[in-house]
Amino acid sequence: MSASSPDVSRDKVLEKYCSIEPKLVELKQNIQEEFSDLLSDLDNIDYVSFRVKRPESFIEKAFDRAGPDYEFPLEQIEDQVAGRIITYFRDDLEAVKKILQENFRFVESTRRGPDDVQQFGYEGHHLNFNIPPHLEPHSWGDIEEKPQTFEIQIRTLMMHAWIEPQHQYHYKGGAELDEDGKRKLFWIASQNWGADQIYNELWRNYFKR
Amino acid sequence: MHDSQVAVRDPPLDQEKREPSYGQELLDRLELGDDPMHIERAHAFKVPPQKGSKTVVEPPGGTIDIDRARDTLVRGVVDNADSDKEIPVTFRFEEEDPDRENDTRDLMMEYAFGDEDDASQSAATLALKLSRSMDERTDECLFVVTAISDPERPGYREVSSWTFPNEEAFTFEVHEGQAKIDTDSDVFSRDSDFRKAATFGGRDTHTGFLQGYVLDLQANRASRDVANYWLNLFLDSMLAISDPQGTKKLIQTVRETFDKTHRDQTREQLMSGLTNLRTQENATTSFVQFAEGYLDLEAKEEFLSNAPDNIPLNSPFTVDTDQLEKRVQYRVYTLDSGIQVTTSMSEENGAVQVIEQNGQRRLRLEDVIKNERIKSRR
Repeated sequence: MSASSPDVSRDKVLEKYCSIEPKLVELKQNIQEEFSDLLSDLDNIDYVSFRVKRPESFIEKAFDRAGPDYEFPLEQIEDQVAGRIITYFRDDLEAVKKILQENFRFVESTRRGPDDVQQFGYEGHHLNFNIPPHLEPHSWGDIEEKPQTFEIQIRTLMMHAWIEPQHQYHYKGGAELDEDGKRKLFWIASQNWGADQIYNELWRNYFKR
Repeated sequence: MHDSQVAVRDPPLDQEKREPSYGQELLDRLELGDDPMHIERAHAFKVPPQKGSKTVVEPPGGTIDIDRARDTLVRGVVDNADSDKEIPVTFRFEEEDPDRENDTRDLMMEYAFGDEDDASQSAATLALKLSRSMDERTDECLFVVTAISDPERPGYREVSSWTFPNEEAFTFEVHEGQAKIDTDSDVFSRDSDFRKAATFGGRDTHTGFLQGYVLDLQANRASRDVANYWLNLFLDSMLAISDPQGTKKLIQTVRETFDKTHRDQTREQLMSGLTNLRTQENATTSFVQFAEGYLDLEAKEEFLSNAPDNIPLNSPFTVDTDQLEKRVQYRVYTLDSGIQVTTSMSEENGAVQVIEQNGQRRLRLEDVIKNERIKSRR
């Protein structure tokens, strides 16, 4: 039985999601507070932001978008609560990841990036953490179908600058790119990669005290 | 520490604030006459310690007839559903592994969702894994594993596993006026504090069986090292509360209690407790251990009532000294004469002043004496 089968009703799932949304907001606040405190001593953090997935976005992921079938979307979709940490420099990515992994238990921790050295594209660290008991919202245990994890993305400003506009308009928005358009898009990725490298050298050789 | 000796008892938990654990839920539903669990399958093995053995023997055992053993199995689950002793844990995963591979998790999910043959094989593999995790400090044990479903939760399974240590017992017979006693080595203790339990649950998906609970009846450090075979080697798991998070929450609770209390004794005991933890190397504690080790009855109740919601009070953690230094805002001055002065946690304390004089830092303290006692060493 999959989320796309008639037996798992879109309306029912949406209704369930909306019913747990207040708890997700509470969870988000708990996690955000904790993360802000954890990272407060680190230099070079541009911002830390968290969000709860909007119901329409959740339903689109569960039912409409091409991707895996979700039999239990309320459990399986792991970015219902998600956060993003943007750093100035590449060197900070590992430092942030280390602090988070010391404090929370990850189920997945992967560095995303092009497979081939000849390619440029999306880069970032993606982590899924177990929701620890002391950050659970009130009456969390009463909810039968709910996420077990929350998602974190760690990127530099340069990585973020590349991914965000194209994610909005190309990946989610469906804007079609011809060959020339794609080349330009990935050219930007290569430039941002270069800027990231140079900025990191500036940090190491000049900015760092 | 407080001069008068007080009996320490378990504090009354604020039931409205604290959510019931899995074990307590099970007990509650059984008491209501519910049938909260349907036992899908059960297996048992006699497991010897074989860690490091050159020749490894597969532990003998197999399927349990559920109908015949139902009461025993249900009682086993209920007996081990001790909410005060349950500790949340998570499986350990590797970085750069999108498949979330963990041998024990994979075996438990195979046991829960596989067909009968796969489940039997998984159970046997789990028993062997347990055997290879146990060294000679651990007795031979009975290993029982069950898969349980809940009719109200389609697709959901729970795998519970227990070990019961071997205990030699006497058998007794009377025949025609003659008594006969013998020893039976195939007896395993149901109530021993050395028994272990673990429960993991979920659906057969990427996000199932990520977290669970273990039962840990061994509180002291020495036995904890031995008991680590269960958590680390066999379950390949970690405590859900990390050391830095546990330490941080403990300190926050100490601070909150310190600020809220009207009792000087409570404040003194809290300070003494933290100082003690600070001076020990790799101190291990939990909220309950801290309370029982350093606080009198009233202070314990105050402290535990301020603990964060849902924090597992029995979950142990090693005190993170970095967190302690960062978050505990008091100073201990050791003077040239050997006298030690500890300031309070208040941000401003006019009674204590540090002054510079002739290139030396000197401590000046002047205040009204509120309490005075003589302490002696035995």
